[in-house]
Amino acid sequence: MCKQTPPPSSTPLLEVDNLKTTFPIRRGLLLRKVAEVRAVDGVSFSLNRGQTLGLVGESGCGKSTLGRTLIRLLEPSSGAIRFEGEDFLACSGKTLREKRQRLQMIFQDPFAALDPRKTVGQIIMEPLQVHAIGNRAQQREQALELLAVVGLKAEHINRYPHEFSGGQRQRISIARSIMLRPELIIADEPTSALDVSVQAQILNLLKDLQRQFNLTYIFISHDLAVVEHVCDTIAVMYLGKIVEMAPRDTLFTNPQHPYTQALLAAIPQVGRGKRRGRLTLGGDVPSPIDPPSGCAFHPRCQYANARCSQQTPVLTPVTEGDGGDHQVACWLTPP
Amino acid sequence: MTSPLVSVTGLKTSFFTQQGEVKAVDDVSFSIDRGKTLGIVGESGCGKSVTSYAMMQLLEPPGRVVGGSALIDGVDVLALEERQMQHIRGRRMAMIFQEPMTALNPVYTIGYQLDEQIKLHLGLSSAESRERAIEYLQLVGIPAPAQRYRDYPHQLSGGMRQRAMIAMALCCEPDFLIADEPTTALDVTIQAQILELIQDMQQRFSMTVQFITHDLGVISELADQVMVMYAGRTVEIAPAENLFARPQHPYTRALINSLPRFGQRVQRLDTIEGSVPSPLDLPTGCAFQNRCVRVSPACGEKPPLRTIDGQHRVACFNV
Repeated sequence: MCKQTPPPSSTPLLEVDNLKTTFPIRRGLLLRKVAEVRAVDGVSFSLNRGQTLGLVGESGCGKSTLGRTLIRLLEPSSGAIRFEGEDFLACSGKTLREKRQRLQMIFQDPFAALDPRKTVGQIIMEPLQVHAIGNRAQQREQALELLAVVGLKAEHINRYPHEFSGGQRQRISIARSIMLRPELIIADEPTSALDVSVQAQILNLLKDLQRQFNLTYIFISHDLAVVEHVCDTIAVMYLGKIVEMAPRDTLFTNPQHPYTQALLAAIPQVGRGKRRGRLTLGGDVPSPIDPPSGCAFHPRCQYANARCSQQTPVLTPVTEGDGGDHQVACWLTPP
Repeated sequence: MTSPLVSVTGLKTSFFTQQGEVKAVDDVSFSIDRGKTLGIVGESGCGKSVTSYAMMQLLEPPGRVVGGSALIDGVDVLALEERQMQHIRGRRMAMIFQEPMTALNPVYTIGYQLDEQIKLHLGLSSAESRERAIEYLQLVGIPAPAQRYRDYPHQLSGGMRQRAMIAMALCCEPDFLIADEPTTALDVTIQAQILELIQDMQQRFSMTVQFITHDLGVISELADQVMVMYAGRTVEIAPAENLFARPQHPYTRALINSLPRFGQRVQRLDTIEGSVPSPLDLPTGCAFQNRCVRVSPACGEKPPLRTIDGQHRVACFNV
C-alpha cells in the first residue's frame, strides 16, 4: 500500500530550489518591458524515484508553468533544478538532449498533442528517430510492443489520430512519452478532457506503467479526488507559490492552510446528499501581475490579520516530529 | 401532491446527417415537480444537452425534434411557433450554459443585454429596467453592479461572466431554469459559489431546475431527482438519495464506481470496458450490452423503463 520508505542511499531524482519563472509584459511601440508576471514564484521541493508528486491549484496558480519549466519548455528566470543529482539548467546541446530523453510530458488535450497528419506509428516512433535509436525494423517492433502495453491493438499502428476516441488518443500520447524509457513523466491534467469511465481507464494505466517501468510522476491537476487517488505527496499552489505540501494522507486528514481547507470543502462529493450553505471563498484569484502584498491569499482568507498583508509567509514544517514533510506557508498555523 | 411543472413525454430528437439519421434522444420521458431539481447525468454524447436544447427549441439543423411533447405548466412548448416561443424563452423558461459567451453578445454592454430582455418581457421603461438590471447583478453577487452594468462581457472574469449570464436568465423570474453544465469550466471554489447562488435563487423564486452535468458530485449535492442517460436513452431515474445509495442499472453502478472518491483508497478504479457505440450504429436492444457485465440473451430486446421501487425506475432486464 504505502510507498513511503525511500530506496536506501539514493539522492532524490529531482530537486528544485527556489525556482522562478516570469513572463515579461511589454507595452508600447518599442515593446518595452513594463512589468512582469511571476507565474512561478520561488518553488522548492524534492522528489524521490518511483514517487508521484501532485501539483494542485486553480487556473493561473502556476502549476502548468512549473511543469513546463521543469522540463525546460520554458526557461526559469532564477533558481536551480537538479535532475539525477546534476544541474539540469547548466545542460545544453547534446547533454540537454540526452537528459531530455529521461524527462517526458503528457498533455491535457490529446488531440492537440498529436500531429493529425502522422499515423500512430509515425507519432510514437518519432522520439526514437529524433534520438537516432535503433533501425527502422527495431523501431517498429518497439512501437508495436508499446501499443500493446498501453492497451491498443497492433492494427492501430497505421491509423491517424482522428480515428480514435479521446481516451485512445491519450493512450497514444502515453505510448509516445514512455518510448524512450524516461525516469520522470510530467502529466499535465492528463484526464481532464475525458469522461469519467475513460478517466478511470487512463488512471489505472498510468499506475500500471509506474510499477512496470519504475516511473516517477509529477501529476498536475485541479481535481483533488484524482490527485488523492494517484499521488504520494501533494503540493497545493496559489499564485505561483506552494502554500502547503504534505504526504497524501496528512493533507487530506489534516489540512493546515486556509486555502487548502477551502479547496477541499468546495469539492462536490457523491452520496453526501443535498447541500446548502457551503463554506465558499469570496472573490476570484487575484491577478498575478499585481499580486496582493504579504500572503497572496490574504484578501480571500477569513482568518487574515495585519501581519498577513505585510509579510510573506515561507513554507515551514508544521511539526518537528513527523520528519518535517508536512509544510505550510501561513502565519496563523502554530509553529 | 402538486402537479409537475415540467412534463416531457416520449421526446425524440434526431440529427439528419449525410451518414444517416442519428437518434440523439430516443424516447425520453420525465417530469419535474414545482420548485424541485432534476439532475441529468451521462457522458459526452448521451443526449443530455440535446434534450435541453430541444425543450428550448434551440436545436439547429440538421437536428430536429421528431416526436414527443414537453409540457411546461400545461403548454406544449415543442408545438409553439417561433414567435410564441420568444415570449416564453427568458420569461417562463430560461437557460444557462457552460460557456457564458454563448449567451452574452460581445459587442453590447452587460447592462444593454439585461435591459433588452426586461423591456421586452416585462414592458418596463428604460429607467425602471436599468434599476432592475442592476438589482439582479447585485443579487447574483457581482460587486459594484452599477459599474459592471456599463462593462462589456470581455471586461469580466470567468466567474463574473457566469454570474452576469445567470442574472440575465433570472431577471424576468422564470418558473423553469435549464442549467447546462454551468460550472464545468470553472475552478472548484468558483463552482461552489455558483452552485450556492443557483440554489439561493431557486429558493427565492421557487424555481424548477433541470441541471445537466457529467459531474456526479455536483448532481449529488444539488438534485432531488436524477436521470442517467446513455446513448440517447434513459437508463435509470430515481430520487437522488436512492440513486447514489442503491444504483441499479449496471451503467449507473459502473459510472459511480469509476469515480475516484475522497478517503476511499483503492489500488485500481473500476472501469467500463470498451467505448460508447457509434450513434449511427447502435445495437438493437439495450445500447449498453457490449460493455455490460450482466449481459444476457434478453438484452437483444430494448429494455423498457420499469418501476422497481416507488419512484425508482430502471431500463434493464437483469436487475
